[in-house]
Amino acid sequence: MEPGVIPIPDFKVLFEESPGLFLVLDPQLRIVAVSRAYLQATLTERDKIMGRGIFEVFPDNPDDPNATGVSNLSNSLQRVLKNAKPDAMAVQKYDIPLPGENAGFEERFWSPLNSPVLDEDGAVQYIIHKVEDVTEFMRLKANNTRHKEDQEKIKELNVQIENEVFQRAQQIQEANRKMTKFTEELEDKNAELLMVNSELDAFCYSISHDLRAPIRAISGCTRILQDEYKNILPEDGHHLMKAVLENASKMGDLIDDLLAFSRLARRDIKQLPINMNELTRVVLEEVKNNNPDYSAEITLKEMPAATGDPAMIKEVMINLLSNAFKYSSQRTPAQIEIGSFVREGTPVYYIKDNGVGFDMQYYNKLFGVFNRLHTMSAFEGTGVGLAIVKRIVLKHGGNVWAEAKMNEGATFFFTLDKNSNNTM
Amino acid sequence: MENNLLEIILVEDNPYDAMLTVRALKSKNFINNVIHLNDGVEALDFLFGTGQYAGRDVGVTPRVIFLDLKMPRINGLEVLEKVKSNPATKTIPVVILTSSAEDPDIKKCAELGANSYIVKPVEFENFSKVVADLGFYWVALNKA
Repeated sequence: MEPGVIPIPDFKVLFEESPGLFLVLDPQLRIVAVSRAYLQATLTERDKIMGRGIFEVFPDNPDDPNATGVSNLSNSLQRVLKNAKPDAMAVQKYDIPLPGENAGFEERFWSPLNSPVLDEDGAVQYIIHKVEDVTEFMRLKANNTRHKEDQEKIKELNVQIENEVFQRAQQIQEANRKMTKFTEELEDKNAELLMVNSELDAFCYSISHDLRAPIRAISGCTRILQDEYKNILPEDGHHLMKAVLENASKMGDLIDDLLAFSRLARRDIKQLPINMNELTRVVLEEVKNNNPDYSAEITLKEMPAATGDPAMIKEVMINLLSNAFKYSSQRTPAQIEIGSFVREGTPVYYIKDNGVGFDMQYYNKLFGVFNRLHTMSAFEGTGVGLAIVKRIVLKHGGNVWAEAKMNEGATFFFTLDKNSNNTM
Repeated sequence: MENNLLEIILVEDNPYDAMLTVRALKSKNFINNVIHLNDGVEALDFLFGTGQYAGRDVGVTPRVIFLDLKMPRINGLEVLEKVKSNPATKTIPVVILTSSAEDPDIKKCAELGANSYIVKPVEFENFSKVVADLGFYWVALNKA
């Protein structure tokens, strides 16, 4: 065989057997040639793909909503057709269909390069689609990255945890320090409060005592004037004298009530069994005697016994019943109901009247000292009664509240310490 | 005989209370001789013939002492204690005057031997009546 005389090789075979992954498309993107390596890599057979459109053979994986293989490849191929220049694509995830009907897809990563083959006029005659299967590399890379990332993350987490633990410790230390400070402050405030309270009581007591003397003088002197000089005093003078006496008397009542109220703070409560039915009957008689002109339909229902300070609970009843009398006095017939019911295992005593009631809008003032919801001229009173009621009930560990409607009556409820009931 | 002339000692620092009390006592015509002393110091000086009352015949004792509790210098309790612990004066009835029935000193007064007490009410009418009645009671009782 002479050198230089080498038979022309079979390029078709060479192409098809080259170790690269090659696919040749015509300008309509139909498959016109393919290397065996490509067939192996894409799990296809030559006679099944030859002449078909590339996207018909390799559609997107319908199970991957993020699949962009078709559109990326299509764009790249269109660029090659348009520009007649090679177009390298970034690594693509382009899953391939497994052979067989509905066999699904296999995840694959590709590094494609699309190169045009031009004719004599420079038009694109073919596109050589060369790809590298980089799936394994991508997997390794992903694993590697993940591993590295994990390590970084763990490192970061460690630092973070250490930081957090440190910060927590600092916070706890700070909280403890604050707590100690608060406790100290609280103790100080408490001591201060106790002192102020006892000072206030002493003040109240002293005021109540010392206020009486001048009022007594006013009242006494006026009375003497009225008695001994009535003949030389004109009619108007008598009216004025009467006004002075009435006001002095009212001032006296205010002082008495205030004294009674301040006295409550100092008094210890006894814990004795109280027959509420008996106590209410006694109080009713007293209140009736103090209001001889008043008549009402009074319903007294059977009530369970209570435990507490009988004198104080009597005071509560006197105040609540006097109020019921007072505020229903203009009704005919006036109706008062006294009874009880059990709520959450605790007896609730109530006094209900059909009197003038009050506007719930001012409820927050109802139990305050010297707070009144009615004018002096409409209903007499010093405004201490309900404050006394509240103080007594609270001292017993109970509660007092009311419900009312303007001109439709009021109901006052109270409980005593629920732990000290007895079933007498 | 002279003893009969001194019927009541009123120990009271408040001039108006004193005025009203004296007036109430005198409203019973029966009682005319009331001496008003302004505080505990004067009361003790008078009773025991000391100070401004040095030389007074201490044999002349009142039939009853009306004694206010709250007074400057020497208060009612101290006067009561001295009066009831001295044989010369311990038989004199003492009526305590107080502003309030809640006065914690009332109990002490009873222990010290006070004979009765009057809560000075705000209203003159009641006060006047109670003072007059008690005054009359003790003066009359002591006379008999």
